[in-house]
Amino acid sequence: MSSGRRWFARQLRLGWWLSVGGVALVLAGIGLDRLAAKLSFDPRIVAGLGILLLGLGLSFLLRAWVLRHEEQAARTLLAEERDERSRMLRERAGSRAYGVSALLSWGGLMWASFAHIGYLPALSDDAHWNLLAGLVIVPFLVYLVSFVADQQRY
Amino acid sequence: MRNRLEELRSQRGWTQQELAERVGVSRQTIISLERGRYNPSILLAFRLAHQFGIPIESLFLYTEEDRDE
Repeated sequence: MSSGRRWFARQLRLGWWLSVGGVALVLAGIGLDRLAAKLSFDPRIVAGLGILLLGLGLSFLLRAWVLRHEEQAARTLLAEERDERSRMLRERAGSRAYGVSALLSWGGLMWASFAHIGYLPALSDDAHWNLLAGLVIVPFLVYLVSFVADQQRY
Repeated sequence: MRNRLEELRSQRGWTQQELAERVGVSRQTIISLERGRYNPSILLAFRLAHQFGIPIESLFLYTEEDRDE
């Protein structure tokens, strides 16, 4: 089996696994919502995770379906994914994003610790929400900017 | 690191896309290599040298200036 065919088969396999797992989680979420009256968490979280997995799975399946007869496009995509320079750029961007994420988490933890003993003002609910949102958004932006900047450099 | 990629590719009449497909990388990587902005892994360097049928040290030219990179 050629590497292109192996890649195609892997995309399909991954797509099916994610889709089936997603549907199972959605059904589990709906089932928990209907059957279990008193849960310590909202079962819609389970269904929401299922929808996320299902979306990912369908995107893999859709990509494989679109590329099934487009051999040239599939080869180009495969080369892009395996390309060592692209991988290096992704790793560098990921490393920077991780560094920023760790720094933000550490800052948040320090603030919470000092606030607890009264050395700093306590964080409001809004500030907590902003901090958590920042922990997701800022590293993502760092990743993007780093990737684009390194594209020009290397 | 300097290299003779562009010169050898032109001699053979290959496009950047063709060479990229032959060694399994993106066209952008070939562009970066030719401009000397990116140094390849040892594996890719061997694959490139193999494509041109020459030793790796005839394709990639190491100089003392490259030591500090």
